[in-house]
Amino acid sequence: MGLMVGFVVGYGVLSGDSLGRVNLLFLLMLFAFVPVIGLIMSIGFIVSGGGRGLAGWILELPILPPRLTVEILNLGLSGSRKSWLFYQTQVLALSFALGGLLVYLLLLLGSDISFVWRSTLLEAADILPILRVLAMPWWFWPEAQPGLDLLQQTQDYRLSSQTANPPVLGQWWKYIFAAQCTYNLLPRTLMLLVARRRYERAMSAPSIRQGQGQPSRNPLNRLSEEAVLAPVVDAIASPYILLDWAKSPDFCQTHISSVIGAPAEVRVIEPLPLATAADNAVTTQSLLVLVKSWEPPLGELGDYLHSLSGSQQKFILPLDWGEGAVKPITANHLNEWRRFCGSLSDWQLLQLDESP
Amino acid sequence: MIPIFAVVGHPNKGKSSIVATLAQDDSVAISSASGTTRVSENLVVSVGVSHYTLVDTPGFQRPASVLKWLQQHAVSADKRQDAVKKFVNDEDCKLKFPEEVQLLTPIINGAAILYVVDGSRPYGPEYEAEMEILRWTGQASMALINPIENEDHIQSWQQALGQYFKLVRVFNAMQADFEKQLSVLEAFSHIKEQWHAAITGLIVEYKKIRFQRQEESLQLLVELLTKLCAYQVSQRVLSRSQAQALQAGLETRFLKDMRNIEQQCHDALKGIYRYHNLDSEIVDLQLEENLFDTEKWILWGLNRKRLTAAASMAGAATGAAVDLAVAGSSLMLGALSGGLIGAGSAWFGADKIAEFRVKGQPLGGFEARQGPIKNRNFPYVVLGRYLYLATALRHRTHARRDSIQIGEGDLADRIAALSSKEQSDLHEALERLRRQQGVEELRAVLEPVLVAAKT
Repeated sequence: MGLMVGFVVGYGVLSGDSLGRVNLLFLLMLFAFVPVIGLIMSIGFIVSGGGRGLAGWILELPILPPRLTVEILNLGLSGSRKSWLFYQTQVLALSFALGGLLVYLLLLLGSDISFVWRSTLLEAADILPILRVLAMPWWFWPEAQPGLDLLQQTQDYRLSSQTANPPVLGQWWKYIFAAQCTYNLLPRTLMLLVARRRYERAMSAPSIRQGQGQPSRNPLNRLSEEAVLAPVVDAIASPYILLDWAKSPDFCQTHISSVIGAPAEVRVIEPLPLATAADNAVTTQSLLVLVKSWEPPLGELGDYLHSLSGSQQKFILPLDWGEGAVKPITANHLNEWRRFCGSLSDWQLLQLDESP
Repeated sequence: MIPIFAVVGHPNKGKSSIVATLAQDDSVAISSASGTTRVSENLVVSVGVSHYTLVDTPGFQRPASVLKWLQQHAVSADKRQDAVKKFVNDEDCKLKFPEEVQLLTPIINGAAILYVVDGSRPYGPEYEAEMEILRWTGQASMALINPIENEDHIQSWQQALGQYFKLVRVFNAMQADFEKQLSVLEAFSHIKEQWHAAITGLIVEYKKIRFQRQEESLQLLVELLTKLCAYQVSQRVLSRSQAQALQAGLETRFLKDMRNIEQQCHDALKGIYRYHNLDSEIVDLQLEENLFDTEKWILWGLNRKRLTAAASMAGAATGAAVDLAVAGSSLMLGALSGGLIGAGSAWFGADKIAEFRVKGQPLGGFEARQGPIKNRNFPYVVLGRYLYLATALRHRTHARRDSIQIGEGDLADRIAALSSKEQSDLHEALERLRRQQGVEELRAVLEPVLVAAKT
């Protein structure tokens, strides 16, 4: 769109009057003054961080199909909409500049453009300093520098038309070309690069993806999930020996005695040394190992239970307590002990049935 | 030097939960069954440009036996570390004490110790053997009291742990906020001097990431609101009756697409906070009825009004070019007449243009359209649900395995907490969105309410 408008406007301006005369000052306004003003506004937008540029205003106009409006709304989402609009504005401005330059070159090739200037108040000497200041950026191109002679020769009065030396009127083309490149094309290209960089920066999502040291879970670490749950019993053959692995407080043993009867003997058990055959041989009475329900069964307990190899009935009693009283065991803990008991061949899991 | 932390302790005391929380990774397996972790597993956590490793280890199984073995192999205190080294390399020990060998190996190789206990259960002397073993390794260590069910026994644990560890912290793996997580790392930088720079770098990166997450979730919110408020489905056909026949299909598609857009956005938000396995439940968006419409279009999907406006502007622009060419001596009549001619031609010639055919295809027709949502409350509902999820993710740890029930939350209160200008900007922006108009400063407008939702 920018290219097309630039082309049309450029053609409109450069086609001149019936004699092909184009007002030089008017051209400078279009190709130098207006772009510089636009450029200052763009830089102002960058500095202030505000504004959305010309593209934002165009998109507000009710001339686009609703579907396209929605697509455009979404198009700017991947980055900042503002920076996207600013970027689009620079694309538009550069396209406009290119369109103008293109038609200028085409007309220079295929037509005779006569650059003249007119003024009632100003003389050539008045204008020259301004033109020289404008020409400073291309000081290295002498042919494109303004001169007093050329200015005087190209001053035009409509009533006394027909210049004596027509080719002189075309000599301004280099000056106009340099002005277009310097004040329009080059800065807009730079602005486009800046806008693009801003847009890309806004668009690139911050890299917060922490390096996923995603562990590939070792199959060994899933084995216990498949364990068998042992049934729960609520009776024990008396007399029995209470093996206190949990080093429980007294009220626990009192509680046990009240539910299943008093044990024939109570032994406080340490992990080491393991039970010997001699220890185990002293009795054929049932064995009841009391454990803390909330502590998972360790290998050391397993080792101890395996060491009790007699043929008597053997029970594990996980018990929960706190604040001076026995508490109901939680389902999680019970399942933990059922899994453990399920892995043992001759041990049963006991839970105290406190119902009357 | 990359810091390495071995998370050790009794089985089923929340070691894996601690790892999941510190690594901010919900893919770490957590099981209610003890002994699930049988071999140590390294989890390399990259935070921006910094890295550290967490080692999830099996729980102690035979600490008393291992301590006894060590005592038999170390005649004096200066030989204790060597005894532990010998233990982890001993083939017989690997068979008899596989869990202890697994958990002690990374420590012997230089990992710092994070010893985890359950503060909701009373301290027991059976823990002393394993704490003693850890002391024998000579590595920097910290004890974390994880109050799994309650905080009833934290004090007794602190007293016991203080005798074995330089640092003791209470760290609830299910509730530890961001600052708490950083405080654990920060504490380690003081007890392991050679890691000080690396851990300080990690903390800086973590803070950057927190900011980046906020930025990214803000961008996501902008996308969600803009997309949902503008979303419509449409189809072009030749006649109005054909367009009306499409109503049921378009309604179904519209509803499904709206749900998908929101779901995808919520999933992306979870991804920002590194929740890849988190389930969430959400009530379907309540969409208003009568969103269906059929409209005649003429050229490029433009209706008569828009075509007239476009033609008017094109005519005016052409006229203005002529005005420019004559340096304004036409008193801008070119632009004026061009605009009028363009507008008139489009308005009165629209129907004829629509009937005109190019390669057998008409330039006009009818469009069946469903959406966009017109209800004023709609953007607020979407915003409320998003903020609810964002807040929930912010206050959640990666050790939790329950799902999130997404509700509309307390959006009104959150908006009320904003300044009057922020409120006004928010209302205006949401209204513009509802009318499918772009809001350039939408990020800036939404930021206060998102930040407020996260505090």
